[in-house]
Amino acid sequence: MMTFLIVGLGAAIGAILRYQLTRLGTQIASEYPLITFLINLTGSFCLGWVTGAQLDQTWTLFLGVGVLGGYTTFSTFNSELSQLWFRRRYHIFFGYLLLTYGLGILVAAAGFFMGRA
Amino acid sequence: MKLKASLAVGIFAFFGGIFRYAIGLGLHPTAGFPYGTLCVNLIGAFGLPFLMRYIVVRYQINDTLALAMGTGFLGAFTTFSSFSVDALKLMVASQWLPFGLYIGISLLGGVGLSLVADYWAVWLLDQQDKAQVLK
Repeated sequence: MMTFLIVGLGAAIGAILRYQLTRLGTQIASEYPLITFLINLTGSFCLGWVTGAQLDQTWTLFLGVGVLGGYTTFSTFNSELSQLWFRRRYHIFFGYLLLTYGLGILVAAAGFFMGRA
Repeated sequence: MKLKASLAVGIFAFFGGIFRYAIGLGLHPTAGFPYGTLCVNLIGAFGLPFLMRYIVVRYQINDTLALAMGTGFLGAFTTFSSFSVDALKLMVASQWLPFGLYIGISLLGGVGLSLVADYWAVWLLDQQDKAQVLK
């Protein structure tokens, strides 16, 4: 029961952070969804670090499953891709797709090895 | 800061995160393949565009509630950080087939389901408009 509360609380904090950053992002005039892109990459790096550092279970639940899980998002990422496709921005569509997946795993690896060191 | 909106996002995200965690527990994360993350991510990839471009329009849901459900609940329900680290773990373990399947299904399934949801939303609203005209 306690673990659910820890995860929920972390997710709330992470999501509010994502929301505030997204609000800042509306001031950037760019068709590339830069804010979600940066959120997902920084979140992947941090979760890699948390995983590599092998924190105890409570901290892993709070930071990893909770905060970083709530901070990063897969639904908004794909919804943005779908909109780019709709608006026929195919170059941005493929760029955003490949950069997010490719760099996501790369920075997670960087975080993982830094955390383990 | 938009305190009210932030609070609404936080409350809905609280439950989104718990649902994600519960589904992960239910789908045995020890099985060696990240079924939990895959499952929540695909549900969310369909759910978010369908919610924002059909349900919110059709039922005239107010902005704060729409934000809370979309950015809060579904945003926290899905996750990209776990996807990256799950994929990394499969790679480090040289589990190449599961690694390829996981990335392939997430990538094609995610964007495919979002597109289906978007097109379906447009179609449903279009049908509704036609029905209104006929009345």
